[in-house]
Amino acid sequence: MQYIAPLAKLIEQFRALPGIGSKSAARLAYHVLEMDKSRAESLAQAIIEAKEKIGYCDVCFNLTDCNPCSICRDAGRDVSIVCVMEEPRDVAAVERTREYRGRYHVLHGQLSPLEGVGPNDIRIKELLTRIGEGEIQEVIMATNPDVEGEATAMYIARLLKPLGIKVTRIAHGLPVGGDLEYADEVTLSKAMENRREM
Amino acid sequence: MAQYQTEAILVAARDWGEADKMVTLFSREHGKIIAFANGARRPKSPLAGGMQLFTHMDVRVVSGKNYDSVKQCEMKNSFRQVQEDFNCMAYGTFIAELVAELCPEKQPEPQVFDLLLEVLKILPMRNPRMVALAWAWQMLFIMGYYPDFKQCVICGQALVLPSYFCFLNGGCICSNCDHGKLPEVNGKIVDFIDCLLHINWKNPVEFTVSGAVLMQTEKILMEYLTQCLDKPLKSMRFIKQVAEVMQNENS
Repeated sequence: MQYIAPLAKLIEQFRALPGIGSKSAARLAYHVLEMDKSRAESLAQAIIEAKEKIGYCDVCFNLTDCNPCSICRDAGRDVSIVCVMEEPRDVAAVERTREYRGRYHVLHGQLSPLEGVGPNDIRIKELLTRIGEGEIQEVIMATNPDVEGEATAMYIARLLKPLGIKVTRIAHGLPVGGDLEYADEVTLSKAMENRREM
Repeated sequence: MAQYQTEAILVAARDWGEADKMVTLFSREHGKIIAFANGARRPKSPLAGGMQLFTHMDVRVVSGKNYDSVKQCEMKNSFRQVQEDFNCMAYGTFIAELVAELCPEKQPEPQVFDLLLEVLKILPMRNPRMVALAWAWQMLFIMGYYPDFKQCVICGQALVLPSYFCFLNGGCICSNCDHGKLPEVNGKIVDFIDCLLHINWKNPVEFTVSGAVLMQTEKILMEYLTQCLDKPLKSMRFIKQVAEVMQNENS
């Protein structure tokens, strides 16, 4: 279908977003057209403001609007424990638990041989520099429980062990609310391996 | 929409959309299949455990208008030892990437499938670097890319060693033809490649090789693969980068 030029441009911009197909893009564009001018302006302003104000924390590389981020500045948090995550959204997921009181380090990716992502392409060097400062005693590897996430955790553990740092891995096992009979063999065997005394 | 069930090994996977994966399966009956595994990244998805690299499974796939979708999977072997050892994982990825790159889509290659299963079984038990090297030469042979080591690929004369490996022409050339800076292929390299080519994965024999022969054989293989595929293998870049970092850490 032929759209008028400004509408086609808007649809094209929405279509470039992840998970948005051409129909969804058109629907969003029509929705924007139906908005009041002030609402459309505040949407545009919010996008520009987020782009301008949000950057990476110099310490943990999480997303932040102040540097260092609020977590790195929080004196109530344990500086001796660092949780290594793949992406900033993983930090948000752990923060939702309100259980963890240590600090974070965001790698911005995972080692992936098939994507050609090697150790120099993610923030491993920065983690080693942080550890070199001497405050950190434990590193929790909270990368995803898939092959690439495991490889990333194994690789970092291999680098940290000689430095005398305690390296731990988040537990693997069954999701809460899941039925045992539907769990696959690997998940079940890992759950058995990581069982704990009650 | 047609549905089919097949025995397959997962040779590549990448994240797609919110919680999906685009996977490359290598199946005995259908060859290489590229399919989507919807929701496979959610912890409670029944596909989550199976849609991991190297997993050997029975899958039920639905053929769609634009793409296939994995609907069900039952794991046969997760090859956990390969997944959980860094070196095995790195060289295992190279093995899997070769299958994904050299095999055309929807063209059955049962011989490659059976060999791949044997290779993944043996990978944690032997030197992964050597297993990957042997696998690569065997794959080139099966898929019809094996270079000519007997006749000069330019003038056609029977080769007298040492000869020179010409990547562009896919084989060795004699010393009478213009060989410029092409890598030398001596008798030891030819014998070593021949030995790798005839490894029986069910009962592999022990052998030794000098560092120089191993390095030269690897160098020829990598450049030749880049020539055949028209691009370098991503897993090789990864292996090289890790080796460099480790070397710097140790020195």
